[in-house]
Amino acid sequence: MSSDTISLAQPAGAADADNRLSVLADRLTDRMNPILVKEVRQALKSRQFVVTFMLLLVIAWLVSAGAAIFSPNAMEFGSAGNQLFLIYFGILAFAVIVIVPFGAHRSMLSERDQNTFELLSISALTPRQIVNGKLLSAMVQSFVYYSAITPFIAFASLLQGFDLPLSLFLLAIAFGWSICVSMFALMLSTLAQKRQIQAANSMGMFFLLMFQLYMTAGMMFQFSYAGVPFDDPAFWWSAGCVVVAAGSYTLLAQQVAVSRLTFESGNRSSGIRLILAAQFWLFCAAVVANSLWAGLSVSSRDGTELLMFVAFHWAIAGAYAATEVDWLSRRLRRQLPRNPLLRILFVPWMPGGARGLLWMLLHVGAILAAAFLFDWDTDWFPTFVLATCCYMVFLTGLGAAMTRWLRLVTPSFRPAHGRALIVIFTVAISVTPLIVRALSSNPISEKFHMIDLVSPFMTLPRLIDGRMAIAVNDPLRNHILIALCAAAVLAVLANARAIFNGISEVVSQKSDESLDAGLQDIQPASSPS
Amino acid sequence: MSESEQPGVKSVCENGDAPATPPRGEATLELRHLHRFFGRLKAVDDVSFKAYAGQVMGFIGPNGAGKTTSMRILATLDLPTAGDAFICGDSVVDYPDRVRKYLGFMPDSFGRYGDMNVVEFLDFYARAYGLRGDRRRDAIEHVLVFTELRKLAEKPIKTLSKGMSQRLGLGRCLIHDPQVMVLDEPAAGLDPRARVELRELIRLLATEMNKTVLISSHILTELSEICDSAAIIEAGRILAHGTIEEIQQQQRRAVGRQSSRSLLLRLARGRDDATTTDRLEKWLLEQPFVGHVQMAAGKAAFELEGDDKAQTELLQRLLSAGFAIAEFHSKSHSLEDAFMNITQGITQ
Ligand SMILES: Nc1ncnc2c1ncn2[C@@H]1O[C@H](COP(=O)(O)OP(=O)(O)O)[C@@H](O)[C@H]1O
Ligand SMILES: [Mg+2]
Repeated sequence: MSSDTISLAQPAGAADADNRLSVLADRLTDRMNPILVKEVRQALKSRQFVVTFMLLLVIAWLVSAGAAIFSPNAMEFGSAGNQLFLIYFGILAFAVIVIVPFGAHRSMLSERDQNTFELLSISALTPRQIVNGKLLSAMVQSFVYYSAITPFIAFASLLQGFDLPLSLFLLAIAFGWSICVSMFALMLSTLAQKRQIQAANSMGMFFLLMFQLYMTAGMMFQFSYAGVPFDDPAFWWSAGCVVVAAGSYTLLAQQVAVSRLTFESGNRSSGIRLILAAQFWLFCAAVVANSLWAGLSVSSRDGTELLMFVAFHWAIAGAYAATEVDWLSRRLRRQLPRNPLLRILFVPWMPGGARGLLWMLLHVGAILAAAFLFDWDTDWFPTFVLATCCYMVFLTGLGAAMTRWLRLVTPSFRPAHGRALIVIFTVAISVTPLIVRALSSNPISEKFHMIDLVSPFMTLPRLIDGRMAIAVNDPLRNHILIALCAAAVLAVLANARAIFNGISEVVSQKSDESLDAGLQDIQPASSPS
Repeated sequence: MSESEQPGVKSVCENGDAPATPPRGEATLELRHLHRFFGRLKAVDDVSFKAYAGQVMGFIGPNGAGKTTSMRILATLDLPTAGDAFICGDSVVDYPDRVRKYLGFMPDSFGRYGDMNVVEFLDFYARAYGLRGDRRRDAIEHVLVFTELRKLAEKPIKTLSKGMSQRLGLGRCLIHDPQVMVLDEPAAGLDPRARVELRELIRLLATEMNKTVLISSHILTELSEICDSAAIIEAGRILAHGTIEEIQQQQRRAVGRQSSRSLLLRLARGRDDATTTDRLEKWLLEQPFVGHVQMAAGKAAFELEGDDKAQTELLQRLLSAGFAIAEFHSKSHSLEDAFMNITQGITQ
């Protein structure tokens, strides 16, 4: 076919120059993400984008004109530069951390709403390309808003009191934050699959975004009034940590979104598990690096705070991974390495609830090792860590076992229900002692009752050094620890068979041969319907 | 873990990087003991059949028979409970990424990005299938020509008529030049004219472009003209499949009239009086291989045991016996008859 037959924007009969231009545009966009190209085309046509864009310009214009008219003196002598910048910045921030993420959220939802998603999913586009395309188009929109506000900021920079480093810093933060928030908005849009939830999802999304704007705007104005210590290395160290943390959660959100869009027989778990584990190790590395840098060792006090964070991380990660359906698709089994030793290394990372529990247990083991192998400055700390880990293992193990059982009873029981079950169960055991105590004769007794053992929030604080602490040499402490260890071991035993099956499903070579026989194992026994 | 493809069965639809055309008559689509259960409901229950390159296969069954469910599995949008399906030799369960390259799927309902125009829409899917530069432009051009949407290229999709919109949908699944096309009730809701035109296009896919086409419908007459073969499904089970003739034979066997054909005969007006009719009846009853004779004024319906040769010989003898024959034709077992006979209206 000759090259003059078609050009995208201008078919036959169009002016030659236009034609060449559109061919050029065609070439330029050739290697770009197809979703990005589509979204930009749609955005340029959509009234919503054009209207918001014009609105932004008009408001910024009015502000500038108002400033020039009403306080001409401040313009020349006062700190108008900074104040005007902050107003422009506020307008920009609203656009890039509320409107743009909300648009990204809506655009992903509408693929499902309008029934276009399935056709995308069977094209050559990977789920990652789809997610990245949506994110990229959000970034392009942010970029457009930035370009629009630039002349105004240039105007503010000519005035007194304009702080260039601070302004650049805030603009950079807002851009980075816009990417994070857009990614989270995209992730949340992939969670809702039923229409009814989607409407609620959009509403919730909007309020979440407004709340987030309130928090971040407050923080940024704080920066601008208190100033930023650019020459303090400690500031850069913590800024670096924040950036890495935000980046890792953005990656996590991206991976969750990708997994949600991945075909059922594909791998929806390994990526998420890798990122969650990497976050944990990065956190540990940062703690170690920080203590080396400061020349201090981590005290038990610090350790307690760090442990709270780590425990929260693994409680969520464990609840997520351990409630997955115990199933390894034929397709994934085919992709496993031939080497049996390598296969063993693969076990904790492969999809399946039992393997997910194993994955969590291994990391909890690493935490315990750190607690008992390092030399801590107090002797209550290791047993406190042990107790915390026991609670985590108990709750996750029990949740996993119950989920597995409920799935047998009602096939429509989904992983999400299992996760909700764990949360509800945690809340229930946390409040039980409070209720029992409230009903008892002496509700505010400081004495430790065995019923308090049920709640981690009643028991764990007692194991720390403090006023109500149970001393290390108190036999009660040992009883508590024994009871908790027993509970954790029982919870693991309840999953022992599933874990064994989960391991052998990956390791055993025999299953490879049965793969070719064909008929079984295409779907989990209880497939969603 | 990557979605990367592993060396596996060599596909008949691929030759290195370039798509290759499989020889006409090659089975490029196969369902093998396919099952899909939704809880207790057996939406697809042990379905097996093949479809061949260069042929249109009908997938016929009443609403709720399991056509869409089967086709979604073929299109790698769903997984079978058991069994497997193969497109160009690749399993839809194990190699969905490869299958997607060979397959064009047109769902029964799908979104169309109403704010885009026709070219932009096709351009987007061409990009989504990884077509770049001139290959993309050629593919779009080809689809616009084939679907005759050239004149509407700049029109926003939401302003297209239903017929044009369906054509665009057909064009969309052709954009990456797939070897196998799976079309789920493409003619549903079209007016008769649009339906005929769409049917022509689909026919061309097989005859001109040597594609394997599987097309579903609950309307039989619609398919009998363009299909080379058909599979009849009801309540998740295949009741009959094969070429149209084979299905008709199966149906005849089913009613116990193997290799016999029903014939209709009408005497010319004015020469169909009662005596002639009586004479005809007597004459017919004397003929070998003729049975089940039924008479009405000037008309006869009967069964003839035998093939076309027997039928011509009978006609010659009729004429030489002096009957003025105005009509003489077989009351064919149409696909519709076959369908009505085979299915029993089971609903789950
Ligand atoms: N996702 C689903 N969940 C539960 N039942 C379903 C689902 N999809 C289809 N079915 C049921 O499976 C049967 C076959 O449906 P379908 O394949 O759509 O029929 P057809 O396309 O032949 O009209 C129907 O009874 C339908 O209700
Ligand atoms: Mg259907």
